[in-house]
Amino acid sequence: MIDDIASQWAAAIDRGLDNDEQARLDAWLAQDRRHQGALLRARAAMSVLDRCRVLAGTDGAGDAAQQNRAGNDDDAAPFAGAPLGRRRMLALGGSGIAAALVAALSFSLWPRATTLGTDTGEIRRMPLADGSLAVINSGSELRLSFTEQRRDVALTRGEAWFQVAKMPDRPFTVTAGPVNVQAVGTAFSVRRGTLATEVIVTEGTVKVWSDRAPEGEFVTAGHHARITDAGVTVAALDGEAADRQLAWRDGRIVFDDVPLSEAAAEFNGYHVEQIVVDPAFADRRVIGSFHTDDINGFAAASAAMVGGRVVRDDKAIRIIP
Amino acid sequence: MTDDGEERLLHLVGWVGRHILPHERPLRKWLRSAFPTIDVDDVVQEAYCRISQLDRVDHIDDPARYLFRTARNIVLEQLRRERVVRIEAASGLVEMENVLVDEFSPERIAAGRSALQRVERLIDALPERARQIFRLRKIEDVPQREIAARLGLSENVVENEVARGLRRILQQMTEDEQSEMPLRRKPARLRREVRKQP
Repeated sequence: MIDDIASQWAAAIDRGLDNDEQARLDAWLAQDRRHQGALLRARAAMSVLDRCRVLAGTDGAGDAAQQNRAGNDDDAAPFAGAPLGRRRMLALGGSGIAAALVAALSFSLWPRATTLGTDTGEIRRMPLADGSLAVINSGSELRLSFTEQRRDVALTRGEAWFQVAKMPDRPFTVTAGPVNVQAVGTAFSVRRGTLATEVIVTEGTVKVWSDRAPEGEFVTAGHHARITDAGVTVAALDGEAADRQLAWRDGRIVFDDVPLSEAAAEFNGYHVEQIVVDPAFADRRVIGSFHTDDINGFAAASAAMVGGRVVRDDKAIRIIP
Repeated sequence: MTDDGEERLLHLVGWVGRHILPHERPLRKWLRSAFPTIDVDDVVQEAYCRISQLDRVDHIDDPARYLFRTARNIVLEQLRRERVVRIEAASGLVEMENVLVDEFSPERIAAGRSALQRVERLIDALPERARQIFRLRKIEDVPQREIAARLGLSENVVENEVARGLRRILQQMTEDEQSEMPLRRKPARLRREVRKQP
């Protein structure tokens, strides 16, 4: 709307304003500070059109050379080394490469017991011999033991998500310490923590039981189970929340209104290098999605947002006032 | 307005046309991808507003960077007013410099040279009568009044064609297709006839 009026004024200025019109224009400009910007933009476009004259006439070389110079004077070099490339690779790794791996590996057979692990910051997608898929989060370890009758997976540490190939007579069981999660054909994640083990079911139904609660509970898609010494608590989880909690599979972390200190701790799980948040900023709440591999970007962005700065020493990346 | 002020303004208009307007499209594209939660139009509008208040521009060596920085500062001010910090948005701040590097790759500079041809193509894409008027006005430098006489139109009609054509050209010059972010697509704006008759 403002742009329409601004264009109209630019056209009027192009033919010449009388005093009365000039006064009305001044009043319009004074009315809203954005009007000035809009008129400048419209008049600038009008002036660009004048360059057609140059183009159609003798030479456009002068102008082109000027543009060229403006580009070359740019002191862009210090900013080279973008983390973008890595991210794109990670994003690709999530789809194309994984698909290729599935195709290549799903026909090979695992030895009867296999250990799969990830280093800090590493996320692996592993097709399993039975056609299931495991995505293993940073700093985690799985021990697989598959027989004709059963498929057993021990999560010795960390977190993993499983998409289980349907085999009604060959149950798929994930054990995380005292906790057991059993499925026949479904998708779920298991995260082994110090105080609790958490299970998120994204497809089908699983059975969850533990040493303390041997009778167990059935957990259906869209639900989240938290298993502690006190027992099993099941709660509904909307699709968005599930996506958020499983974003790590795509190399992302999603924060939804959590304290900066918590966000940093989550991030630190993917990196050897650690972020330390000054207590002054610890409670500032953050929302957002981030690439797990970009710890520097996360630190710089958080610091910019809370009005702090980043200092590095040999121990940590610190966000300080 | 004083003659001095008028001269300053003309200089600014020319400078913005040459050095700022060509970067508006990449700016919009960057804003849209880096800050999914902000109102891009609003930020761009505010950026032009700030530029319109500059007394002089000679000290700006790198107008594209200046434009991006101005927009970034506006976003930052907006974000700081929010209760909850959007890290997602903040990550865009970090990436600005990378975007700028991309913008000035040799291919981009080469593309900038053909900007003049593009402008001519924009005029050629206008409806018949507007195209005729723009060619006369902009390529042959015929005043609006004389164009009206030559084409047997009222001056008012010529002026309205110029306004409408300019709006259309401006849109095509600067607006991003938004094809990459279908979720953020705004409902199509209602096209209305320009009401203002200065």
